[in-house]
Amino acid sequence: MSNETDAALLARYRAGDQEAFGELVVRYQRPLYNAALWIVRNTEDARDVTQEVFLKVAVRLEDYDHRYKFFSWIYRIAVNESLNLLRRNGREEELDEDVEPPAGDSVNPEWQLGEAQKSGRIRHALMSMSANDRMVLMLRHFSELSYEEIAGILELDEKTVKSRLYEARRRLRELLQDLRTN
Amino acid sequence: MHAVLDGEATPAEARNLERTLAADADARAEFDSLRALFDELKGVPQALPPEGLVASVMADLPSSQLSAPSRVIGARAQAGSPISDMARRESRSVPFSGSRLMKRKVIFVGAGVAALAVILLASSGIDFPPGGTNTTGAIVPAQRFRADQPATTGVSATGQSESAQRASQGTQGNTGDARSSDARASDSLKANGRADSLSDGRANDARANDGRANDARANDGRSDGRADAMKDGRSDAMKDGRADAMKDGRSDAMKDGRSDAMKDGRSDAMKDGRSDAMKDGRSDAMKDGRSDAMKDGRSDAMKDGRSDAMKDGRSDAMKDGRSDAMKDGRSDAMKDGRSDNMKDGRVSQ
Repeated sequence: MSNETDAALLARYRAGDQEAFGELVVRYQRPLYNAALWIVRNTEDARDVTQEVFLKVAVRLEDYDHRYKFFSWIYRIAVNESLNLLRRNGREEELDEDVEPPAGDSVNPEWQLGEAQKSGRIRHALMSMSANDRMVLMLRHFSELSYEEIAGILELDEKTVKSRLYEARRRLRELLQDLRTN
Repeated sequence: MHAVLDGEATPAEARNLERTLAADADARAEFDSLRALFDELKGVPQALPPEGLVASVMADLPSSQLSAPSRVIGARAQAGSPISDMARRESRSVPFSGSRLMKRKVIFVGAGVAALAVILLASSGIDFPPGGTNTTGAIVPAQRFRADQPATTGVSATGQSESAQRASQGTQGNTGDARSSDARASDSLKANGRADSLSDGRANDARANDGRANDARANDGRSDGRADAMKDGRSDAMKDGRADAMKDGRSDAMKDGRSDAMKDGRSDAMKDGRSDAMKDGRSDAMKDGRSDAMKDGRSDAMKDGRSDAMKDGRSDAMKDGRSDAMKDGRSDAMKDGRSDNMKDGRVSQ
């Protein structure tokens, strides 16, 4: 993958270099796809959302405010697209059980099995939470964004982000406790 | 606790928490539990994006945003560039839109297939019905066979009558019409009133041979007419008309029509491109390529090749060769020649 900054790639793309945009797509396809997947909980919808996000980015590139990070901008578009899809569907789609996480790096099968069970339990708990809880937890723990970045994407203030994170974690722990006892 | 674990706490906040945890066991248990949750969340693997996503995005990228002349990603790619490799790899499976281009291609392909079918039909139709060159090989051996008959010279040496000679010469000279030679033989027979049984027998023998020759010719004509006609008319026509037409019409059309259609048409968000492209690409191509080719190639070929060949080759042969031969040559021969021959000729020999 290219070491060029997002800004440099955007400049190349504006100059007519399509490959520069391709570099951006390669760079952000995975986090955007996962962000969409955690919200819409369906692989096909997540793919559509991701593709739509990149196309919107290409079309609305002139709207991008360079004072903010590029990935924050495209994350916001991804979150909004995902939420719009949920709204269009009228309700949250059924959980897509076919989502297969990638295999771990370890070659120890027992460790892999234990990790798979653990992550499977967390995924199950997360997917049963509300879209708002999933979103804030996903942005913090999977996309590893700061409070400020999450606030910018969700268009909230930082205090609200901290509060939402606190509540979402509390609920997640309860769900996990229920899963352990059951 | 959350801010510290999130890495968002200030140094002062972190020091405060350390002091609290050192003094409070419940706070420590809570902190450990929360940290375990963070660790668990960290261990959740993230899904891989679906294959072809990059190519799909690049295929649908609006060209109006760019000043670059080419929409093909990787056209300016440098070797070893990940995006270039990925785009090249994915562009094979995910096409880009361009249904108008595809439609134009399909029209050209259809026109080409139709032209090819006409050319094949014309080239195969030249041989229908089988001409003289096709029958020469069958008639000449029969003529040669007849020319070597001992009847004429043998009879002459033993005093063959003039009419018998004429008859035999007539049969020798006349290679094309069994009826005329038979008529002359018949005249000679009438004139001489079967006076010379030997010569008559030989003449009739010659006539019988003539009949057989004509019969052979008829058979050759029939076999040539039918077999060649069938062979040339149907199989070549079928072969050229249908197989080539099918081959060129369908596979090329399919190849160009569908793959281009797929290539060009599907990327349009798999909405308009694929259905139109598939519809226009395959059905037009199939329609132009196969049905016209089939129609022109097989029906005309069948019509011109088989029916004419059958008509000219078999029926004429049957009509002229076999029936006359049967009527004049073989039956008379059977009647007169063989019996006389049996009676006179073979005995004399």
